[in-house]
Amino acid sequence: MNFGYAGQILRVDLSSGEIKKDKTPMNLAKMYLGSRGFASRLLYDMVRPGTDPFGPKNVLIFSAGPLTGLLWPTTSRYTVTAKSPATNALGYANSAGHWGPELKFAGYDAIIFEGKAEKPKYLLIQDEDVQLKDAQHLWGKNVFETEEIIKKDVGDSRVKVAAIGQAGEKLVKFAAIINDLYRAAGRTGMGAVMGSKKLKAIAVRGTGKINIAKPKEFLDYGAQMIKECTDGKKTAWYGTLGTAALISSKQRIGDLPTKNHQSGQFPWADEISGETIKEKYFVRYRACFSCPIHCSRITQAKSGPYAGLRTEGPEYETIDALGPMCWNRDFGAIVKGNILCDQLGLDTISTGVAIAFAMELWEKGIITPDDTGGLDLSWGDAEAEIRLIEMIANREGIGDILAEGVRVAAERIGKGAERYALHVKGVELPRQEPRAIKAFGLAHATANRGADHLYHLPTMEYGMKEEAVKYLGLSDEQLSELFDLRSPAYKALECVFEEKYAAVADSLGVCKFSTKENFAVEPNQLARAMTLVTGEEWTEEQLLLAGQRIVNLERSFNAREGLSRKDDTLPRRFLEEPYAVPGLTPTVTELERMLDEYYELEGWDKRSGLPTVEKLKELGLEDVAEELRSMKII
Amino acid sequence: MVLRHLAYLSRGGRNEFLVFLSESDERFKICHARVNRGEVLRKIFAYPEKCTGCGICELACSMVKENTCSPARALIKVQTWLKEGFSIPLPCRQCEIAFCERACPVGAITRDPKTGAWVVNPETCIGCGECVEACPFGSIYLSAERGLAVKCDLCGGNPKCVELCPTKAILYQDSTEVSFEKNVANAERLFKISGGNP
Repeated sequence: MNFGYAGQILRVDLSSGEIKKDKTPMNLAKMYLGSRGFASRLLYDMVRPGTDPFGPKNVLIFSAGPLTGLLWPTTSRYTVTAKSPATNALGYANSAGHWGPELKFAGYDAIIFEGKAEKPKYLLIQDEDVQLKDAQHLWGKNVFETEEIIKKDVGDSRVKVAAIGQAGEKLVKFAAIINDLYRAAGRTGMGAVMGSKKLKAIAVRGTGKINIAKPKEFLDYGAQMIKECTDGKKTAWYGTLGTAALISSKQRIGDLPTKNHQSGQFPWADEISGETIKEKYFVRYRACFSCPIHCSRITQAKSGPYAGLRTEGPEYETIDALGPMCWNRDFGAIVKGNILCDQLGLDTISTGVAIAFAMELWEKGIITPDDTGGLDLSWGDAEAEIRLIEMIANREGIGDILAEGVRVAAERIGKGAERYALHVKGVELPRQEPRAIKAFGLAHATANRGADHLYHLPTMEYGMKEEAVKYLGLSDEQLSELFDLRSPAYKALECVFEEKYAAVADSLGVCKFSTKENFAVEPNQLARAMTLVTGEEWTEEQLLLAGQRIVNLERSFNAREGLSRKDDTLPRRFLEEPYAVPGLTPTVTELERMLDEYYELEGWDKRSGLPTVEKLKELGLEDVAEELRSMKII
Repeated sequence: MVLRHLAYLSRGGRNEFLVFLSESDERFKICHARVNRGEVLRKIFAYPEKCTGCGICELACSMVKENTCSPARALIKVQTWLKEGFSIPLPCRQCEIAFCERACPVGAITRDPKTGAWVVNPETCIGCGECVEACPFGSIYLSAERGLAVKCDLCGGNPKCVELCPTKAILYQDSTEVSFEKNVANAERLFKISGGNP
């Protein structure tokens, strides 16, 4: 009997229409846990270097973790993995809601899509019954319409749907996969890979169960941890204002990216802050599956042209990307933009950064009305912003160029546009200011899926004394340097630990908001949960080792695609244009110093930024070491 | 002798019948004996405006009752309107006049004298499903594994779903408490309408 794991994986060949059910390979589960780690290994094994991300040889994997769907805080998450069209390297995106647990209740840990359908299809899973269905009537429909039509076709309102919108169909490089209407597997263009395979949606209904090796003890332990995350100090602030709480705190330290990172403070931050949203626009709290934190909120715009519109969110990243980044202070327009991105299937971060990029090019005179079809892209024009979102998703006019992502768009536009294209490895920068918080500078530069705040999610530098002593072994004096956000000191040490824990959380199927973000649940507690769930002894060391193995494997995938230290960089703006809030000395991101430290702590080669043969062998990745050596990469 | 009459339509009007419950009835005695002793019978009451749709109640229930994580096996259910972001928890009402008990042809459903919950005796239940048809709320089920009727028994007076609900969207309460709170809320509304100048 399988404990924790559902026990089966689905293999769907979209070219032939063949559907197979395999047993979940438990040897892989032991090495890579599940979800992200599991899928990264499958991707490494199945996708050869040089594969076209939009070709039939790319695979698209949906995977849940061993804790996904269980009675434990925040077990809602699943991962979508494929070679990314944005980076031409490792791509994955993580989402929550209720879709991932439903996949496990239907009996599957993962779905692997290979090939390419000739005509649009969607996959319908009803427990043991799995069918590829015609989706021609869904093609061209947005995510909300698709969900509604599928539920009607199936005749069951309880099916959970993950779908792409027009953006995924049109291969927008930052197209998202949206599940449960408002939850996005947003980053690295997984929606575009799905669109390239002509797969419109996956609808799942699961009525099965997940077996637990020691149910009585797990019930007690899970209940205890749920209570701690309900009332505990560590999670309380997310439960009040949601991620929007970050607006005010980031504004204070100059970490609220504004006007495409020309500034880190927004004069009207108060109008869109978490506090203001709670007071004026809040409707009610929402939560993902098995989450006591409920960071999500339904909000409603109250005035302006978008008055009356309701959405789930918007989250911090979205508020900044569609707000301050584009000099837009109208909360209603942010709500409208958020809804459009969910419906059209776009990543809000990349969408906002692409629009801010276009607005800065307009400001600098690099693009003119001739390029935009007459659309005025002045900073803060909310109407133009909304129009651009639609143009990107439908690849109309200048939207067609922006849909390639800012890296490729800048190449096409030329005239020095690349200076304003804020991306790493082709993925648009998430909403942190690398000159204000150095840890995130290093994190964005080194994350294996491109600019990414979640790959390491460094948080200890915000004064988490107990954790920094426990996991980093720092003395009091060293701690004060770690807690200096603008100092590069100890940020590499921090990132090396945090990326391991982040990989563990992603791979077990739990949210970082109960784990990596705030340590409400610590690694040893996850290990105990895994022991009770699987019946096999798990320790903190084993889990973190698996996390490290996953990070090394993902870097090896990228190495095979030709990526190395040269790609672990930041846009020139952060390295050359000093910035600070008034009263502080302006600085740039001291990247090279942090990179040297980072590679050394990883046990990687400093020159190439790649794992060494010894390191890979030490982690049990002998076959990977052999392959990279035979290819003369390491 | 006081007779209480209840008429109800069941199964699409096929069987219309009257149920007579007298003071001499054993179940009637149990309830009233408790009230007379000043003890309080409690039920699970739902507050949808507080529900986030996380489904922890369902998971808790399936773990307590079936030793497994399976919302489909939960005896409390949450219904969600995704687009509106609205959810309603649906606990068993533990009806005073319980249609499930009335419908049971073999007397397998009896009232727990301690909690007042209607419980199914698996030794007696024949899995016919009459109770499922009779329940107006869809709160009694046939077990997927055993085929016998299963329903909420209030966990013997300490319902796990209530214990773990993060937002107190379900509470194990005496109905008079619920009524009182609603009285107060309504009074406050009226007070506000009057502008504090009644």
